[in-house]
Amino acid sequence: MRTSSKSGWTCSARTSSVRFRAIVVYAAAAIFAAALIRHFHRLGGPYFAMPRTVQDHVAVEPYPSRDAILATQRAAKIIPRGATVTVILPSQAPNYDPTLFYTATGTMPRHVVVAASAMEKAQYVITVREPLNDPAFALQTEFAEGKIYVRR
Amino acid sequence: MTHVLFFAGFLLLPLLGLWTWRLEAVRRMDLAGRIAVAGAAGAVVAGVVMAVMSLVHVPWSRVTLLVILAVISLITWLPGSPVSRLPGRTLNVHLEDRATGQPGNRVTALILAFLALTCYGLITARESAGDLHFFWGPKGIHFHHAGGFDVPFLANKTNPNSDYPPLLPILYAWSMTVARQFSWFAAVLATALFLFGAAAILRACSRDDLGTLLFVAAMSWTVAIGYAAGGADPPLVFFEMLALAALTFIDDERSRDILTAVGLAGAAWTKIEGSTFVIAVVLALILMRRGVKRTLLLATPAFVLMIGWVAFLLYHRLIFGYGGAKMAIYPSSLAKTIELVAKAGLFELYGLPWLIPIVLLGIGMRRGNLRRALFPLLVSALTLCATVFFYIHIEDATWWIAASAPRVLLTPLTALIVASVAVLQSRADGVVPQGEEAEGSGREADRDPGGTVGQV
Repeated sequence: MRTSSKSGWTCSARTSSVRFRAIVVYAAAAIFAAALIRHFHRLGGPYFAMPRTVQDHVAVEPYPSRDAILATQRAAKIIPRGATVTVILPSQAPNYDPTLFYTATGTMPRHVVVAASAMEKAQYVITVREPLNDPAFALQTEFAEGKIYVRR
Repeated sequence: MTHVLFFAGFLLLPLLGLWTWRLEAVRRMDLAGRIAVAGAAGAVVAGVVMAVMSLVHVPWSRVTLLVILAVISLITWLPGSPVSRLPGRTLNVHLEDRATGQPGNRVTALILAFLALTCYGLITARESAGDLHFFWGPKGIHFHHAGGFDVPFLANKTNPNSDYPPLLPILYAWSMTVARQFSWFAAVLATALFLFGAAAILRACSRDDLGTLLFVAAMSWTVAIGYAAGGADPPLVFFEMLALAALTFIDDERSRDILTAVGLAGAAWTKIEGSTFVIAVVLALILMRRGVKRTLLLATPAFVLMIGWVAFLLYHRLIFGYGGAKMAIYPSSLAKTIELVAKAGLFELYGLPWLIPIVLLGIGMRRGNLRRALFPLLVSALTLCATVFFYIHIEDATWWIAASAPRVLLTPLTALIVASVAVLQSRADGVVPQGEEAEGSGREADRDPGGTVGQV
């Protein structure tokens, strides 16, 4: 579509580059949209229900920290304010996942959260998913996402 | 109700930034752009005011905050204020379509489709950052309960990254003050405000619908697979976009300088990587022969905020992450680090988020407009180098890169997309007054084709 005149050629070249740019951007947008839908689908259902936590669907298999959110939110209403607390997944001993007690610093702001490595300072231990086999602690409450243990 | 009120806290921020509407370039923007710019300025104002209140021991409460912040916002609405004499929209869609050949309505619909997709991902908990629950959210909650910076909490070793810049936790504390409770879902949903606010700024400054669509599409994908929602990366991109767009597209000197200063200040106070961005912008401007003194003036608010925060940390012995500056460098890990960063940079889509802007840059180079794009390109390259530099401070950064690179790379990607938009701008100023032709009107004859940076 090039014309012989210089201005005509410039106009034609500009039009074609604008068109080409539009095609590239539209095609890219279509790919990004399709990839997003596929990504959301891959993360699993339910797809149109309000999740219980903001971590519910960030992985196909929910992370323990997702259960820690629910467990600590429940525990915050049961454990007395000001008590020292930590959160662990017992089978990870001795290298406990710090994200579990990090989570509790936000969901239990009225309690004193201590690191899992400082469990000897904790009056309460919240376990995620698994039971705690430690004679120093007694089971106090049990719920779907975890258990609350109190120091004997 | 908590969710709605918490989210409303973010929606109130533009009221604190209405003073930006006095700026000539902002007055010419469309409404979405003006609100987004005011939101960025309002976030910085809220952050600074609340920080100062904390330092002078005035506790944050609904009454104190609403009175102080309401007074600040009302000042801009006083009789005779330029805000009350705003012109209408400056460039309607049809004019833009005619001038640029871009089908504005169709593109706007596609941008809204990406907004809907992103909101779906956010609300159904498919994009959330773990860091929201690990430290950004807890900091905001403890700041709210303490009525200011909670030094004992920051000093507690159960709280990771306690010395990270404070703007996002302050904003969370602000929204919590409005709602009286923390809403994790509203915090995640605020990501949509930051991302699409950045898009509104890009569109308002560049008047490029297709470029904005590319930014929205690429960011929707990269934020989703980087699980960045609720963390500090979306607001960082928001502030970075303000600085980049102002420096690249805005012609009015005063508007450009003020908006750049706001963007840089916000970025520096949002993440440590924001400080890197500020340094990259300063270096890029100096390399492009902008005056050193003038460049440093632009970054002064950012430097003041950062120095103030570091002084606060030093005074309370809270330096943890910033102590990493003293860490050894492992040059031997450079090759592996580059390989791992490149792998993360593929964004699980063959590097498409990078490839498309590079292709567009190629098209623009054929039209000989590369000079305008040089500044954002330089920033992209510098921040990319800085990312690698950070990672070689650990001998084997495999885990660190896998966990953070998809989010950290959002900054150079944003700058690259801005460059790809700038390279196709034949106008020197993306913001065109109402009634004037956007392109081919002859206006550009009086403007510097090198763009706004090249004028100084």
